[in-house]
Amino acid sequence: MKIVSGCSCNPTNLASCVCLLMFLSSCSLNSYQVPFNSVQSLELENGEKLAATNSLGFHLYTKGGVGFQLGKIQRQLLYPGITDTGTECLKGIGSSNEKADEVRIEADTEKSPSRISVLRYGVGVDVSFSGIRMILGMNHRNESRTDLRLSSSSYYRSGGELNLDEACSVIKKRGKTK
Amino acid sequence: MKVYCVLSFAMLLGGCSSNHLVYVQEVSMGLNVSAGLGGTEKISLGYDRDVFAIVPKKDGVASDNPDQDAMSLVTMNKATIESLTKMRVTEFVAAGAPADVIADESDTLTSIREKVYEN
Repeated sequence: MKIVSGCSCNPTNLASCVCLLMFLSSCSLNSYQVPFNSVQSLELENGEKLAATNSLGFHLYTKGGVGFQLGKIQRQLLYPGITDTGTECLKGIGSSNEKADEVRIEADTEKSPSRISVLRYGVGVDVSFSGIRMILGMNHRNESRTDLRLSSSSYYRSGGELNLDEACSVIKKRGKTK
Repeated sequence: MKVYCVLSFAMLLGGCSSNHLVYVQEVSMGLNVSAGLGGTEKISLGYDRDVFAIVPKKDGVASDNPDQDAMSLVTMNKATIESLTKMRVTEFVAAGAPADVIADESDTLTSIREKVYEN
């Protein structure tokens, strides 16, 4: 059986199985690496959660469009903390602004990252609702998303690559008062 | 026909809903070729940086002023690129009520600017 990575693998041969395992471990689908899941998570001061993946090889993704990347891909997802004001990120900046209004916090943000950072090296092709794109080299995309029913503030500072120096992301539920 | 099938599939997976405000900052180094459905083609070789926001409008049925933006947005950012592997990004983003408050207070805007550009 011929594998794309250039190895010739035969399941009856131990060396071939190792070769197959190496090939699989360098692939990922929507940031889930096969056979190992390389997700690292970290909880921050205001209840924010940070999930990061880092992998080399061939990657397929189907979220936000369809595409592939051959090379290195690093993803960092920042899930916001839920607070009474949504302005906690201003405190670290030096503002005393805390206009808390009477709003009950009920948002479920576990599945909705407020910030998505993707750093890619190599060659990649994306097909999405907005068009088709091919990238050869390096691409770093930071995307902040806010649900229209919510308010949010975030502060983010990274060092080299996606090494995080500081991050704050909080949301406040908008709408009916209690 | 095949192209339309692929694009329809991508739209489905992309979840192109208008209930989010999106702010994007993107840096590319190398070759970047893209073709948009709206007839926007782009080729860049070397360094390229895009910063943009997608702000939905208010619902025309539920709102008296349907042309108004659904949400306010205040951002400040700084990107320092020294090499392909050494890149620093500092960014502040506020959307909704915090953005309304910040936009009214010049002192707060000054504090944010100083924090973002401090290093």
